[in-house]
Amino acid sequence: MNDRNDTTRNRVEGLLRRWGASQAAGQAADELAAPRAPKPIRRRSRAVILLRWAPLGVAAGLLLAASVLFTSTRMMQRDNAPSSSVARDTAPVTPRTSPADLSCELAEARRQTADAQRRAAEARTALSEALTEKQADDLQIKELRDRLKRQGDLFVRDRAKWALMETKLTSLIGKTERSAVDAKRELEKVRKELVDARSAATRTPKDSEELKGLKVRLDVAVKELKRQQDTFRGANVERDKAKEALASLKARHQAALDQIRRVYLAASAPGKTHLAALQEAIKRRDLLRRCAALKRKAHADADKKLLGRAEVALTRLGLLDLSDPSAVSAYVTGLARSDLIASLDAALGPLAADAGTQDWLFETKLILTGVQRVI
Amino acid sequence: MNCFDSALLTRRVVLVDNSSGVEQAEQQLISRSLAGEESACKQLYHGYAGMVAGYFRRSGFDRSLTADLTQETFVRVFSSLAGYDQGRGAFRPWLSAIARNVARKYWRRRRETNTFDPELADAMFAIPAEESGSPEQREEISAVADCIARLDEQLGRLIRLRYVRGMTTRGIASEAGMPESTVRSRLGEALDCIEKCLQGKGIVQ
Repeated sequence: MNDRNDTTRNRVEGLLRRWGASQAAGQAADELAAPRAPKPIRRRSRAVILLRWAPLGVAAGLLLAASVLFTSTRMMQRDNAPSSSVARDTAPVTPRTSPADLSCELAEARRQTADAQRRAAEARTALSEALTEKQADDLQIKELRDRLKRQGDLFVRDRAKWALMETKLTSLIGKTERSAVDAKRELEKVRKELVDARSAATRTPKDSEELKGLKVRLDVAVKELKRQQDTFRGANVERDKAKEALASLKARHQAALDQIRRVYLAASAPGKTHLAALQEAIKRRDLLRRCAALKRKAHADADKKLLGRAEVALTRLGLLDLSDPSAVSAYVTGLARSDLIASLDAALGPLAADAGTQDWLFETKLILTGVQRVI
Repeated sequence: MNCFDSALLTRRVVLVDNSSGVEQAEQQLISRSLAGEESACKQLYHGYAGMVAGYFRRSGFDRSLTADLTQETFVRVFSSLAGYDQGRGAFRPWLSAIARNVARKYWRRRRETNTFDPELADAMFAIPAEESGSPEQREEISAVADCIARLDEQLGRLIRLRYVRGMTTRGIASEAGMPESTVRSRLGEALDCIEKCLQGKGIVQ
């Protein structure tokens, strides 16, 4: 009874909380919508203003008077100086006017030099930062590629192991099924013989002995059938486990790839998301320019062909109008239908390709596999 | 993305009418916001600003600080929206986690700490707003509102102070000018009345 009361009370409490939450959300939204009350402006008395500004006014007056006096003195000095411009130009620097001019020029020159030095230092820092950033990016990409490669190797090995186990178990199941059918047939045969022997058992002692023998055979056949059925069930369970392990392995590999892609895009296309991030990564990582260089270096026709196909896919992605859903959809469908990603996977496997090609293939794989994962 | 500008506007927008479409609508809004669509950013802000501000108010922050904290929450939301992964959970819990972090940062600046009940505020924050509920939920909320309207004025006020403003019994006592023990007993009385009323409407057993 108490439990029921508690449950009802909890339900009422929950309903009241929901009601309260909706009311509070509405009220808070209204409060946010209402303009905030302006802060009161503190009015100062005239005396306070006068006391504060009077000393400044006096100081400004004195400064003005001093400047007028200084200017008039300078004008008087100029009137006493030689009037010819040639004389002024060729005359030795007089100590009355030159030190001030020179010091001004010197100060200006110093300022300009300091400014230029500062700008140069800034440029050096920016260049150094850009270089460091690029090196860090390259290092990060390499690290990601190594991580994925390790994961990929592990995945390929485990996949082969589980696939082999599944094949073995399937074969075992087939064999066991056949054995069970044989055992069943044997059982039926013995049963039939036993029935025949039973009908004849009453006639002669010899038939009675035969009946005993048949009973023994029947027991053996039943045991064999049971054993075969157990084996069949066990093999089925094992095969299901192997299938599950394979599926889980694939899911883990996909999750690892997604995680690596997120890190890659965060480094290569900061501030961008979805397909725009992939487009940005193509640009910032110079994938198309690097592809052209790799194609020139490639010897095998198969490599050149793969690089060409991947280049086409990247170029199309780079130029894709993301505001056009039909264009995006057509690209995604086309990519899913092609075997390009499988070919990239196959090419990433062998160690024969150089590190540059491996890096490029890896980055291209990250981007192209990302098309379906980020939309 | 221009989400920050739009977050300054304060018109309230109802997101969707039924709960089955809530997650879909949320996801669409998030995708559109990430794509830089300003109207989506505005909708996202207006759809949840009330809920977030309500949480700050119930946690004991004053009106002015609540507005600032709501802005800060949404600045954080829009900054990290790209990192939001729907596969790891719904949008509301994610938003509430950000708001809680913002609240914790300014925890000491709450008004009267004894007056408000942060635990109740936390619990109520996770509850979806009425607009996003299913028709059944809305019917239930409407029945609760009706039952509260039938209470006498004082009991109705106590219920509002407790469940809308999220106040503690001590805070209610101070606000209503009555002893705390009286507040407790009057709240119990109000709950009994509401329970009976809801039983009459077939909302509770």
